[in-house]
Amino acid sequence: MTLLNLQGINKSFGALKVLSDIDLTVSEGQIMSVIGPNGAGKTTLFNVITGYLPPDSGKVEFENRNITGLKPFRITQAGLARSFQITNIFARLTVWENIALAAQTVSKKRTSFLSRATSQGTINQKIEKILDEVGLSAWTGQPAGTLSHGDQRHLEIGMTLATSPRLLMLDEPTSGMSPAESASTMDLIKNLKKQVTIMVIEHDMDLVMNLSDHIAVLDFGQKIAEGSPQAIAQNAEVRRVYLGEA
Amino acid sequence: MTKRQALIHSAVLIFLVVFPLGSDHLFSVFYVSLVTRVFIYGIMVLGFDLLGGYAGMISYGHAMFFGTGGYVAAMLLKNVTGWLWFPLLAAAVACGLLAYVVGWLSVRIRHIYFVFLTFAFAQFFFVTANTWEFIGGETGLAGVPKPILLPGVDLAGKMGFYYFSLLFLALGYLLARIIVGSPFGRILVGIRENEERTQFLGYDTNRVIRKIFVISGVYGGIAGVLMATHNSFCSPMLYHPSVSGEVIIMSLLGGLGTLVGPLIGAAVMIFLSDTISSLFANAWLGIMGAIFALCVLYTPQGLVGILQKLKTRKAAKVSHDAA
Repeated sequence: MTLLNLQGINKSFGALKVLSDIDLTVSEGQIMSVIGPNGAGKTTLFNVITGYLPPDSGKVEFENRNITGLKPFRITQAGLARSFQITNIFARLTVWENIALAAQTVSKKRTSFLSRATSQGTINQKIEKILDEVGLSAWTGQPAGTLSHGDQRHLEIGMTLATSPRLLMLDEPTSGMSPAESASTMDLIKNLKKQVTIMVIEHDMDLVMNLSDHIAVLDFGQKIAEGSPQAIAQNAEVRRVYLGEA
Repeated sequence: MTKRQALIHSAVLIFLVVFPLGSDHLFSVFYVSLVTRVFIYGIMVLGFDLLGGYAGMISYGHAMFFGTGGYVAAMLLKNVTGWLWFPLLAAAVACGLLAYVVGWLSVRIRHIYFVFLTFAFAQFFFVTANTWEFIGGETGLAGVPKPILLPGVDLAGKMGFYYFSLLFLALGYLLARIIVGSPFGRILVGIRENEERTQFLGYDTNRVIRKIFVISGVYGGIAGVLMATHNSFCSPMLYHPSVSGEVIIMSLLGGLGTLVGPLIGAAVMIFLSDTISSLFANAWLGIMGAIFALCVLYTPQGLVGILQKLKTRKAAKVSHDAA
């Protein structure tokens, strides 16, 4: 079943065309990777999908519902949540509080004035479960800003996951990570695949080739190829763009 | 709330309840009045702290609620009813509506722009109150009657007013505590710390800010009602920008985003102004200014921050001694 469907997405910044007529679909249960050189338009594509930027033209459909140009909070409520390439957490709040604010978003009492935030049993259980999944159970009381870079990246994923999305969008989850940290992130994503559909921007080719069911390649704002990891690995155009082959 | 905190809260409350009994014996009844002023400002700074300290939206226009609450109550008490409840309710509703409209217009902007827009709205009221003869113009409304609370009980005496203000302060504090411990309170802090991320977690942050702005405005309005009835007088000075400024200074002095801090700040500032102005009739404002400048420079976390620092130092010493 198609979860996300993009039709003819265009986006320009002034004279610079950043996204050119992008069509893309993400099927339920898959891991879809978006790759391409720096400046190819990958993050802009995420920004357009998640409401950070409106597209100039084109349509974003999620679960057959048109979500084009909705505000980010509405898109998150619709079940589509993203993480950020540059770590975007609540640095002065504790790890637990970071996940808690995210987890609360699906609660019936999400904006209640008079109930106690910490006495929502189901939310608390969910927070514990997610902390465990992203490997941060030992650091719950620690201010998030004091975690190592790799742990902050995992917290970022945990927060996104805690909003209970049906499509999890990860923008370079391994950026700035050591090889060991990258490997643990790969394991994490592999585990997450069992519960949620994932769309990921990534530069780590090892991760992309190992985990993806489907890959789309962007270059200068255009989709130049799309297919299985094997097909992409053999695609002459992709090899030219990535490896500089003639 | 820990046992220790509950103990401190009860001790403070008991002290405040017993305090006026000492007047005329231990100190002048003037101090009962002065503490009542602390309570009234306390209600306003609690509302300010919810908006500024928790959500991070610093308003430089809280005088608009103080004044509006005061004028609505004063006009109704003088012309319509001697009872407290209807004017109080009307003032709260008026300030809630005012906050809703101003909030709706102001929440699109942030930081210094928000500060100045709230200031501009408050100035509009200050100028209007000065020119509108209907509400007394520059001279204001004198002879606001002491409101009737219950059949046979009015707020004519200083004691009655003291306890009545204390009751409102206690209720206001309790409500504020509940709010900051609620899921809504969690979102407020999220907005302060990283609004963009809070939006991407699925929260309509503008709507949340509008709501807390309304709550904050109602706190300010109720404080205004109490001030006008306490003074039996309502003048454009309630709308004066120095009121908005004092609220900010009290909160900074005590510690933003702690609820208790701004209350301590209000008490310190009111007592300090009183003492210093009686000692140095001419230079007192300059001295106050210097004290605040030093406080902001050396204790950015406010007086509550100092207390916490001492506590952690003591805890560290205890664990060191034990080892």
